[in-house]
Amino acid sequence: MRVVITGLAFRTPLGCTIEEAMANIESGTRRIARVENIDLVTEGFNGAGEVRHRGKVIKSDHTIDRKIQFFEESLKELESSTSLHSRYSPNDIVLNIGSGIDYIDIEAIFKERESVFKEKRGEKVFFKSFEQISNIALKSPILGGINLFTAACVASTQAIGSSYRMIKEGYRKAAITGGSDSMVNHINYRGFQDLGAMTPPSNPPFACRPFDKERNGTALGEGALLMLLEESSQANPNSILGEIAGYGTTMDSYAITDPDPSAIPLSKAIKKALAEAQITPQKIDAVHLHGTGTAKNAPAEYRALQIVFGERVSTLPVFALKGQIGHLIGSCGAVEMLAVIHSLQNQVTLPTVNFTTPDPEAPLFVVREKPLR
Amino acid sequence: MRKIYKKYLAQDEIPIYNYIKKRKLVKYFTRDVMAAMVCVGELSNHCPFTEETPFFFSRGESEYPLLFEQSSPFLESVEEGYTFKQFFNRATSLVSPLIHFKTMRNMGHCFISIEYGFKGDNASLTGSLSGLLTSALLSNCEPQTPILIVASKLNLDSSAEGGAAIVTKRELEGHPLLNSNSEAIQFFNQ
Repeated sequence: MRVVITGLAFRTPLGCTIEEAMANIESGTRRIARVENIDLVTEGFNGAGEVRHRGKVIKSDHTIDRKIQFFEESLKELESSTSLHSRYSPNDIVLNIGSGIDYIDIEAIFKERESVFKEKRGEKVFFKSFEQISNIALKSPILGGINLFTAACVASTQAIGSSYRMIKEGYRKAAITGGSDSMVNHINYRGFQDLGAMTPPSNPPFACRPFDKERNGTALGEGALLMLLEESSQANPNSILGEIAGYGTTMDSYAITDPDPSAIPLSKAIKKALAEAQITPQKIDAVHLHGTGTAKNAPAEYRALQIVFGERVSTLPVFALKGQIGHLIGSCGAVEMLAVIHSLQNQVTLPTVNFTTPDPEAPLFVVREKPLR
Repeated sequence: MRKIYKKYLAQDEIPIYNYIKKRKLVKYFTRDVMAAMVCVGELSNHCPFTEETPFFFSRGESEYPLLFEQSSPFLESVEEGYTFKQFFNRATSLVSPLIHFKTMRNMGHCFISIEYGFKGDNASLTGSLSGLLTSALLSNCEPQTPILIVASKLNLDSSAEGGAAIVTKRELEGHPLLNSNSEAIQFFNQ
């Protein structure tokens, strides 16, 4: 049984339509800029990849949980563009979505601290992700399960992988999957800075430098991407954008934030996915990596590829999107599927922006300047 | 199927140190993660885990933000000429950096994995019971392979619940709760 992607809807820093987003991916447009939607009131780095439409940041009020806004808009768009509900009953459709930390409206606490906070103890200012997503999905209606994946940076990848398994095993006929997240709010942005993973103050468009020797931290981004997965025999052949052929997931069990430098568990995840897809490493033409721009990420990813691909690692082209849009945390795997689809459709590996100086500790073949065909 | 469930009231001491070797991690734990860790610890006495044991965790939605607990002494204050910037900086300086680890949804999953060295198939979820059971049911292991499923929940009254079970795919096939949109802890406390 083959599992295919037959629809996309998204809200990303690269745009909200397929034409706009693909053009920006291809041209290497940098969308990390000084945050516009809120005043971060921070002395540190103040950039992020905010969701834009035709180049302009989509603004929203502080009473809105942006990740829920992006999710809801994407869901409506996906449902209408795929005629999903006319082809499947609500019980046949499952929602598997990756997301992140709950949103706290601290501006409301400040403005209404005498009334709202004292009386309600956070009830009006604390937005529960699962509850909000469930309410939207049930109205849709999606009745085949509503599942929120929250494994931080791999949340949306686990959501997509789990959807793949559900369709492949015949457990559900259709899966709406992907991710939606926004850490570009006061509490979560400051929290991420406190964790020490954020780049220090610098020029935002050049702040996140995946694989570069001078990389010194990541920048946050926000956005949502939802896709429809179906079994291939049920899909309109003209709507097929790609196929998910295998999925593997492992855990490092090493440290709270650092990757296991041996990269053995990471390499096992790649091997599991390849084995399930019945593809040998020799058949792989390019790899899209996580590429956060943090010090420890690049050597771990290099080591994993070295274990899987052996000597080919030095000639195997790799790509990372985060230099353009930042780290979308709970939705990064989903939104970065846009670049994967671009590579597959155009048979190119794109240049990774902000990569200028190779790192001897992670000597990956990072494409520069122009696409590699 | 072997199932363990624990509930601790706000005033109860959770015997976490009886169930953890990596004691330095405890400072990052919320009470629901402690409850889950105790359940997994008790379960491990009966079911030896391996590195490859598939492990799925679904954490309940928190009923109150920990942030408010630490910063509440000043949050209600009203001062003349008080700006949002002053307010925000004072609020965040009151909050321990540890709180960020406590609010991250997958931390319970991470801590239990680190404690037991789990490196196999996995997923970390929030809320959903159907997601927890379906993830286990569709795990890429043999039908009789023991799978660890865990849930936790921090309640509005500060009570904490934890549950852990060893199941097999065969036991989960056709389970009546596979389609449940309830919170995952209900699999353990019913």
